Amino acid sequence: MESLTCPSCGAALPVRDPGLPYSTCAYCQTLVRRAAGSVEAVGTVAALPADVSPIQIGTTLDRGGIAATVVGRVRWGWSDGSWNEWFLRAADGRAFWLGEAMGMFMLTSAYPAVLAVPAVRNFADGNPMARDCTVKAGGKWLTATDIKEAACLGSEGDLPFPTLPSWTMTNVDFRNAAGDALSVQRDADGTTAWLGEWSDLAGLKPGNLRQIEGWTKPGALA
Amino acid sequence: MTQPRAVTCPSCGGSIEIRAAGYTVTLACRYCGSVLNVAHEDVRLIKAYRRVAKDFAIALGTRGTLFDVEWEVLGAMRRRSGSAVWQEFLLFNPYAGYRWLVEAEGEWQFGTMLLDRPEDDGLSVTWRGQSFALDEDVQIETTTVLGEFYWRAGRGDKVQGATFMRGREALSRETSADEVTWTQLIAVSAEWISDAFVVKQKHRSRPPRLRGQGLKQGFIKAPTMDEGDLPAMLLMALAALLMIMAVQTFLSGPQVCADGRATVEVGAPTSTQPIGTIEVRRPWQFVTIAVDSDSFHNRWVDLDYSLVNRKTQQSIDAYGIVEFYTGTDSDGPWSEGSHHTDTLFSSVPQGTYDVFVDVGAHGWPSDPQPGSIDPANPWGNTDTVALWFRSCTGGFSWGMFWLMAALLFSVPVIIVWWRHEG
Amino acid sequence: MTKRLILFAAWCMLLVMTSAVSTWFAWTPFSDEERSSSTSYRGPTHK
Repeated sequence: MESLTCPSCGAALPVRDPGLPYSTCAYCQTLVRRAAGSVEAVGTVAALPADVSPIQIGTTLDRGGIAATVVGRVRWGWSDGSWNEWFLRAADGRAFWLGEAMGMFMLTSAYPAVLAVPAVRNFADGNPMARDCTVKAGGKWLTATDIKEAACLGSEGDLPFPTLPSWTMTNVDFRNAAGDALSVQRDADGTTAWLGEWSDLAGLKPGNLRQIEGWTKPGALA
Repeated sequence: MTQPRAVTCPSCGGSIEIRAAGYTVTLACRYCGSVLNVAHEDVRLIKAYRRVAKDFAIALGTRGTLFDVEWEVLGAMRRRSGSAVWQEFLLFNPYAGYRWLVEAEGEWQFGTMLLDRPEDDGLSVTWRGQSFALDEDVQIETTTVLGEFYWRAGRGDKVQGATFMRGREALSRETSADEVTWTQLIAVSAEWISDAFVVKQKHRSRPPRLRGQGLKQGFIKAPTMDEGDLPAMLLMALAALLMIMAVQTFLSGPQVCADGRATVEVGAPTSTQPIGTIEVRRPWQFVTIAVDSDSFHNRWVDLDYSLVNRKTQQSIDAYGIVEFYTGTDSDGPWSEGSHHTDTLFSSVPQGTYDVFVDVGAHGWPSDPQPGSIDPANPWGNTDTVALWFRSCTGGFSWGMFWLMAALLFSVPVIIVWWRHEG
Repeated sequence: MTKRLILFAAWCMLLVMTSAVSTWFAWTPFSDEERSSSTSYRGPTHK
């Protein structure tokens, strides 16, 4: 793992995922852009609010025998709440987002094919998404159930986009009866689509979970 | 980031620690009941209240282990549908997420929100290959909220709730304006819940909930007293009643008896006849006089007993009656009364007593001609009643027994009735 | 055992003791020493 230092405070800035351009300094909340061995401060990220998430940077999940490791986190806020999205990089190079809501998890990987669907392309062009819109992705039909305008509340670790407080996105969650999940996110960089499924924590076969004060990890997860 | 988040209630100024920081959206203040939006750093008052609902079955913050996972009670709601009222508790474990405990009339259910939704075909649903039949579909109103919730919860929230049953398992579908949620509910025993939560509660700091509440709330509806103890209560009452029966039987002795006989002419003036002598050996005893008559019809016999103390000549009086009537009406023949009567004297002091009876026999509807003798059968038709008396020390007060039975069983009965009334 | 059950057990014991004491002193409010009306006319209550 190559090592950089924060251009703002000089603290070590570990590179967890060289493929990602942005990193947040754990000590001074400076957002750093990395390019070809150089580092550049691009602003200051809001401090993450306290939470009791069991995930932390370094947590591993098992995806069909291949370990994926959490390298960064962004916290999104919307009018009625907030949620975490954790970025994971698998040993085979694949990227995942792990969304956390209501104590449950939505693990998705990039699925750009759905961006060609007219309804999604229309959304990507900046138009609103209709609720109850149904699309087919990965051979499954999914319905848009949840559309949120979200703003970045803070970040840590390595991430693919700049998580400054001004960074906003529109998120559309699709789901179906089988527990499949499709997340389409539109931000200043464009629109991305992520397909996966809902799960409880145990179903992700996690490792290196965060030790939350006052709680013991259940036997199955310890 | 590891410090727990504490907020100050803008309504009452109370400081409240948020246990599920990062998830909790709504907080109903434990001190004043005000509903707060704590989704963001700045706490906003949604609605101020002045009173907190206290009589929840499990206190907020209580932890308990169910299905090998430790859960903390984060939130509590009281909900209503028509006349049915029940409580729901939001459980949380940061590694396992949220679960529900639902308490209705002493029955408990453990709820898990479903990620895979059942297929709905109107009157039944299919989930994981099994069919669940529609049980009810009603509007549900939340009447009280307390603690933390991961959505915008508040008093007066209304959802349409459908329940689909399969044995002791249920699927609940709640439809609100902007979402449909499915929850799997499985029945769990009240003992299990009280072992997991309520019993542990004793060892935790607990608000003095019983103070200031009436006996009714304290004893019948009290939160720490789950309703699973009713069968035990009924068994206990039965055992106590058997003990009372044994105690009344054995403590009334010793029993010594005297027999006597009397004959009385129907319609004649009352006559006093001696029917034996008995000795009361303990300082105080019951005395019972049992009387059997021959099998007359349409007569009544007044019996005025006297126990005359030989030493003091003081008398204790009691009263009995033997009556038996028969007749025929549109429903056919009927009979009423008995040829046997027990008379109980209470608190008879130690001593030897001569027992006398004043007997007067009468006919119904009127007395026969006194002294009338059928010339054809001068011995057989004399209208007399023969009586056999047995006077005994000791006795069994059935009145006392039934009073005790009523006092014993009224408690569980009132509890059941109260619960029924909501 | 719930607190309510313990309270109820105490109530049961109280009633058993009460009946024991009242039996020992041969006391009952339900004895036949009061004659309701000595000279009343009687008959069936059957209708």
